[in-house]
Amino acid sequence: MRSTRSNAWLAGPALALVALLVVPSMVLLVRLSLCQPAYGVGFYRADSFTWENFTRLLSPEFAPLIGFTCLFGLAVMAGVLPLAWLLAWPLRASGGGRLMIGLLVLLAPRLAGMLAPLVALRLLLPRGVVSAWLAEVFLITPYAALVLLVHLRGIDWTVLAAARGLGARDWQVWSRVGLPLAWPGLWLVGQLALGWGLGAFLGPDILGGPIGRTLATDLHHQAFDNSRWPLAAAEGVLLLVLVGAVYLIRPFGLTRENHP
Amino acid sequence: MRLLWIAATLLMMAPLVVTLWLSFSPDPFFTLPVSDWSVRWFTQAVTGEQWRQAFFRSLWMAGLSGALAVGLAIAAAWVSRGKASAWWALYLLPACLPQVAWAMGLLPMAGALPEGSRLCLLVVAQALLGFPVALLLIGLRVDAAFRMLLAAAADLGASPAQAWWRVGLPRLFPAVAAAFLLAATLAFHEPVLCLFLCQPGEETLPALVWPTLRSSLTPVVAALASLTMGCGLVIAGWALGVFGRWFR
Repeated sequence: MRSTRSNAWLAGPALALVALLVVPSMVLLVRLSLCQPAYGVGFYRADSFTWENFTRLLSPEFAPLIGFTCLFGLAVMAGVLPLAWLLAWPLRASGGGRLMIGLLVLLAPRLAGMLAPLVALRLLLPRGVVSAWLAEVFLITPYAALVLLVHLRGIDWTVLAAARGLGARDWQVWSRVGLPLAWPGLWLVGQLALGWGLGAFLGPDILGGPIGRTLATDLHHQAFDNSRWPLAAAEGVLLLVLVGAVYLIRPFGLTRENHP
Repeated sequence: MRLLWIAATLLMMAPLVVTLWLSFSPDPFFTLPVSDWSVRWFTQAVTGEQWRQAFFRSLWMAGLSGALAVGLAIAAAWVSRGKASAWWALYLLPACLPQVAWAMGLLPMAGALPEGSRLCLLVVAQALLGFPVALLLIGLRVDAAFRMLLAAAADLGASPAQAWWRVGLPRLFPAVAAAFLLAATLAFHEPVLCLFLCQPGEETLPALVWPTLRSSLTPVVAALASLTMGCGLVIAGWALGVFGRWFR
């Protein structure tokens, strides 16, 4: 009883801060998306209620933007997964100094900040969808590789040698043992990369140009350039729904036991 | 496989190297290859009042965010006994949300706060983004052996506070130091929340650099990128080194 009470005290601060900063902000976002625009006075009419922002968002006017955002998220996921695998796989069994150097190399693009990669890509590449995609892949891959590495290090890889010892060929070892063991981690990383790709802002905003706009960059544009906070909030709600749907997708080929 | 790993690493490092290279160019128009070398842009970046203020603002905010993330992570790691639990789904929530949507939701909250307290909201929000990384590192140290040591200290007559101060914290120190430095580094570089929540005159470095990155890039920005990259990598390298040496 005493232990349960002290656990609640210890878990409390983090949970309270998450609850205080995430829940009210999400409620406010939804409420704001249901307000009328201010038409020049302030940013929104606080006491109003309308579905206008959502009907506009779901009209053909915004269909290309939403479609492009979804395709962009999928493309980012397709770019991040193989790179994360290549970076994480050799570190699965490393220890001590090699692991620390590997981790530093793996996280370097993120720890160096977003400035350095974006400055270089902005200088070397013309503005467009490919540049925006590359920038997002650069920014997301370190986190994805870290998550994958944590999963891969939890697996006993001597079973691959055991499978070979029992007569399995290389492709059988991979398709029957290696891939099923790594699959939960790959699925999780794929979901995270798709979620982060859908919410991509930095790459498309700086390198995307007019044809590389996503929901996230349009949200910023509507809020700060056009002062249409309710429409921007509706775009935020749509983005949350899309990302939430991605995280809720039932993992394919996973049982309860090996779900990450 | 090793060759592919080297290729992938070089690919990830290439933009960092290019930025570093260009920041030493005396040419204001970014022409490659760089033949002459100059620290002219670094001098401008360091002596510019606007950049310096933003840098130090980012620095103290990152320090506070890192400290808060570490404090929360120590308590959370103790409760979850170093293993992932159902709580972790909640802890990871801020890092999984689309940051622009979260920032847009925080904007009306920030507007309702008293003047000058927006930066406090930003510090707490950034701490929640660094919190999962801190929890991951500290959670690795709060294992069964750590609990047994605390229990042994209590059996030998130490009060809970003495056990933590004399036994727990020294053992946790490498993880705490590494977690603080990594969480602070991530907070220092965080741009999206700053863009939405910082008011004019209160910008952090990423928020101040943003308009330049979007429109016309200047060599001073490349020098700033190199400086922050250097600081970030040295601090992170040191943190991981400390952690690696102590974590056996």
